Amino acid sequence: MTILLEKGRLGESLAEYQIVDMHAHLMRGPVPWGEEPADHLVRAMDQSGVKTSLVSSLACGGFRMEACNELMYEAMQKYPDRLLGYVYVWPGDPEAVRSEVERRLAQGFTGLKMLVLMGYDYVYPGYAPAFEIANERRLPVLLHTYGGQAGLDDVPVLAERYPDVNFVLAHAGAQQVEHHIRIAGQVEHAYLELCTSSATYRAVETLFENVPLERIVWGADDLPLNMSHQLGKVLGAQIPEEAKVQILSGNARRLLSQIRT
Amino acid sequence: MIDLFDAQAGFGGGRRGQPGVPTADEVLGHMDRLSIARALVRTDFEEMDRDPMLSNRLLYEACAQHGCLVPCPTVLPTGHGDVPSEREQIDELIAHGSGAATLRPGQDGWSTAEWCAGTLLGLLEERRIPVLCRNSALGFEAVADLAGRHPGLPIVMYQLGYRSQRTLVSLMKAFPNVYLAVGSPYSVHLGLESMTGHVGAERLLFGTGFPYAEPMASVTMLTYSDLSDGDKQLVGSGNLDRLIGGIGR
Repeated sequence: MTILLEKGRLGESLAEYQIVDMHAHLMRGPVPWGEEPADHLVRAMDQSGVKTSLVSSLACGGFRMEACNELMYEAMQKYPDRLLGYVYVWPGDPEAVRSEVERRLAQGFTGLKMLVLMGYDYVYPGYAPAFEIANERRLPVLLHTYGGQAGLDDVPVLAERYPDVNFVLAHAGAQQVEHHIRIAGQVEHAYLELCTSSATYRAVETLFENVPLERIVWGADDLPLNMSHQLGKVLGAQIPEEAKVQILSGNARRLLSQIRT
Repeated sequence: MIDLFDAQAGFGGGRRGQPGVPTADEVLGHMDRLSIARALVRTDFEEMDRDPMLSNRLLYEACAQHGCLVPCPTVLPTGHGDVPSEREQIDELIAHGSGAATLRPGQDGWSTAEWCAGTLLGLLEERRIPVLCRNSALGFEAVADLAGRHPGLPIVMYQLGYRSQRTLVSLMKAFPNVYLAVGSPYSVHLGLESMTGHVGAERLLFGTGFPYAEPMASVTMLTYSDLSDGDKQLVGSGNLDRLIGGIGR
């Protein structure tokens, strides 16, 4: 067994690898936990020794942008060395988007989070102020890109408009593997993030074989998914040990180091 | 190291648009690589399998060559007369050392109602043979109905996702003969901890979800969980050993 595989099999801490989770949430449903979601998230991180999670809050309902982000801000204050915040963007009112993004970045948020599932394509004008700010500051923007309404084809369009945005495409390798690979080939600043409940067989290997390694990052989507489950598919992937470390830590750190303050 | 007995794995089935058919050697390779001692195996992928008796024969042949593979053949009612009688299917299952049976009513075209499946379910219950049911093939209401009518029949649900958690907890509280295989896509935030708190670790069975899923995902969900070492061992292999040990042979 390789070292990472053996540690996973034995349940030994991975803290030494300074793992960065690029995709986490504060949520209250549909997983029935009654306590504060930030506490549960950190508990899940501690199981394997994940160092940092980039988190967006959807706990208050996706249409309540400010309330979601306020909960995230409270979580960041409670766990300043563990949780980094994505500003969740609901694009109904462009002016509200601009002021919310500016306010939250001033509070120390790290990136932006958008969900096409909320009923707006990523090229919807209401998102434009958020992308403009992300472009100025070279922020990571986490986009849900899974399922029938994945929004993947919006990404090359946005990359033309906002060349300095780092697009983090969530759930790569779940369903539309070929589509994700194609978009990664078209968009230099597209990063493929791996979370999926199905842990699709050989998805990590397929992406490793077809996408530059430095553009594959790890995320858990916890909550609602299980962080240690999501970790296992990378630990168990049949790729070089060093590549696993890059996916779990190095690539995300390099991406975050590009942010202009 | 926790002893692992995979309750949710298979090989030998084809899938639309996918050129390769997963093999017993692939399962064995992953078991060796991840130190999984044994696996209860079905014909999987199952969606293109239209000849369960042939698939069972191939499954038995493969398992006969490898002591670490325990067959979980498909059984079905015989009212139509195209397959051996229920008793013959179960005798064959026992003779080949099977650890459970797979029920796929939708796939194989039968109803779980008593007038159709009563004989089969009664014989399985009499021998306490665990039955595996994919959630998409046998939903919560159908499992509840089955569990209520046959309280001595161990029913193992598998292939459930996080959105099932509320319903699943209620179902398992209501029916003590319902078990859960926690292979992918069961990726639920602190899911093992939650289920153990609600219904006890005795009701959970480790599984990988191969060939659909990367097997290591479910391994680390267990090894890194907050369960006690004793509970991890129960989930890892103890519970499945107990269920198989309870079969009336």
